[in-house]
Formats: sequence, structure tokens, C-alpha cells
Amino acid sequence: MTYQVKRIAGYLLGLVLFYAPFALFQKILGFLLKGKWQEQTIHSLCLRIPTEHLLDGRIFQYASISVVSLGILLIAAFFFGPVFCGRLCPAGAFTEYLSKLVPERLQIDWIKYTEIAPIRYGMLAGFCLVPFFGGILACAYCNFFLFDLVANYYSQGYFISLSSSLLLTSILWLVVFGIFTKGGRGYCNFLCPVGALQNLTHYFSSRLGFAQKMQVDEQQCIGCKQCATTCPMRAITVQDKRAKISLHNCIICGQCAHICPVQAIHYGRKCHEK
Amino acid sequence: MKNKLISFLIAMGIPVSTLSLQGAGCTGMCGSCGFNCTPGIFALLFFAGKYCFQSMKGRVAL
Ligand code: SF4
Ligand code: SF4
Repeated sequence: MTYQVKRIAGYLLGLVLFYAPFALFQKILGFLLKGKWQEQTIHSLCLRIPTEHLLDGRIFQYASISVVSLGILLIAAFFFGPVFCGRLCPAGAFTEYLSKLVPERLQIDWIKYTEIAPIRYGMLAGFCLVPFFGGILACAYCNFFLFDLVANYYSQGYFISLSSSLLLTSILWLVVFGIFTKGGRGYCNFLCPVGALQNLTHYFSSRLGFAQKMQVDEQQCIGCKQCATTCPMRAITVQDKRAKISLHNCIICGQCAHICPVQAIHYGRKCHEK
Repeated sequence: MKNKLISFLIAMGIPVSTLSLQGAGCTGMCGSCGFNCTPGIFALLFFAGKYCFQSMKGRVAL
């Protein structure tokens, strides 16, 4: 199977695992936790509610399926990096593939305008602070929710009235940070707290030496910049003819390793330098 | 470093800005009122500002 086919198959698997009408992951987890096989949707998995309550101590008051799911996600991110984002999440993939329909000259390459990591983590910090002041933001600005509306409108037939925040989520997720952003993953980069939390975990586990991560063999790299151009998260910079991958927003999609003409990029724990 | 800190703090304001309308009846829950739009508007203004500022800086440098 070629790399691209494998990648698309991964996102389709994500659709079957996490989204109604299948939602197999939630159904299996629900069966293991409650002994019952029930209908589930993306909302029973919700990763944003436990993320929002990580700091205020109320995390365990919420549905066990979503708390356990977030735990599984973070354990996976600790050892393998944010593979959920890069290989399974159909909401992120949706805007990435959609952005390929728009000519690149019309798209903004945000890396030229701002640093990504401080905004990513600033957004996460604010998201976790809001509950301390009695606010809740989990459902507002949720791209998982919006993707569910897109994916299930025809099969489930439900739709909700377009509230102001849902309209703005659509504009941000699909338009500004979707089709008009180079790579199509501006929402993942700037506004997804679940992605930011995984990358933070990935960063610390990499510093401790536990993580499998994307790494560049500096001896082999010829500085051609093909990896930087193709990276949907704009996580690669090339300086002095050497590519460098940021742990703060690499989602282990493998696109860079696939395109590198000299196979200088590898996924693993140890550096492959020769 | 200073720029990173400023970006971090302003980005923190994106979700926190929802609190400005809590007192006006907004619970921050999608669809519960017509005013839970501040984070989105804040985000749009923030990124438009970044885009314009950097574009102008680039043009001046040229
Ligand atoms: S650095 Fe490579 S693996 Fe990481 S997000 Fe970019 S293309 Fe994907
Ligand atoms: S594609 Fe490969 S050779 Fe080219 S800059 Fe990236 S890592 Fe280096």
C-alpha cells in the first residue's frame, strides 16, 4: 500500500472509530466501562471537556468514556507523539485535503506571519483557565462537533440552528484556517486545545527520552526544503541547509519522511544519524 | 522571547474573552444565546492584526 493510501485509510478508520453511526471506539469503551452496548456519537468521546477541566480539579465529574479516552490519548502521545492528529483525526484531515482544492498563491503561510507554538499553548492555557471563572467553552468552537455535522447530516438527518459561535467556527475552521491556509491545518495549529495538549506531552516525553518522534539525519539532509514545503502543520524550518522539526506542532503524519529525496527523515526514538 | 510571551498572552485571551459576555447571559455553550461569539471575533481580529502588521513590516523593509 502506498503512503498516501495508508494515510487516507487511517482517517477513514478514524471516522468509523469515533463518529456516528459507527463510533466503535466509544461503543467498545462504553461496554468495557459500563457493561452495556449503547449508541454513541462523537460527543460521548468528547476530549475537550476533560481538557478544559484538567486544572480546576473537576475532570472526574465528567463522563467516564471521555475522561478515559483523554487518558488513552495522552499515554499514546507520551510514547508515540500526536499520532491521533496525524493518522486518525478526520476533522483535521478534512480541512487539509480540502485546502488542496485552492491554489497555493491564494493561501496564507502563517509561519511567515507568526510563531505557532506560543499561540498554540496560549490558547490551551486560556482554555484551561476559563472554568476557574465560571466559563465553559468546550462545545463552542469545536471542530469535532462541526465535522460531525458535516459527516452525519445526510445519514443522521440532524442539524442545529446556526448559532453565532458555530458560524464563526465554520469560518475559522473551514475558510480562514482551512482552504485559505497553506497546509489546511491552521485550526489544528492555533485553535485546537486537544492537539496542543498532545504536543505539550510529546515535547516533555521527548525531553525525557521516551518518545518516538520524527527526526532528521543531519548528515544526510541536503537542505532542499521539500519537507518544509509539504508539511501540513508548517512544523519544519530549514536553516544552514539543515531541516529542523518542531516538537510543538509536528503531528507525526509522515508526509516529510515520504517526500524527502534522500530519506533523511525517520520516525523513532533513537537518532538514525550515520 | 518578549514577542513569544506577548503572543502567548494574547492567544490566552482568545478563550478567556468568552468571560466578557458571561454576565450578559452568555454561558459559552453553543446555541444558548446569541452572544457567545467573542472568542471567534477575538481570534479573527488577532490573526488579521498579525497578518497586516507583518505584511506592513515586510513592505517597509523592502
Ligand atoms: S514535520 Fe513531518 S510528520 Fe511532522 S507534521 Fe510536518 S510533515 Fe507531518
Ligand atoms: S526533504 Fe530531506 S533533504 Fe530536503 S530539507 Fe527536508 S530533510 Fe533535508
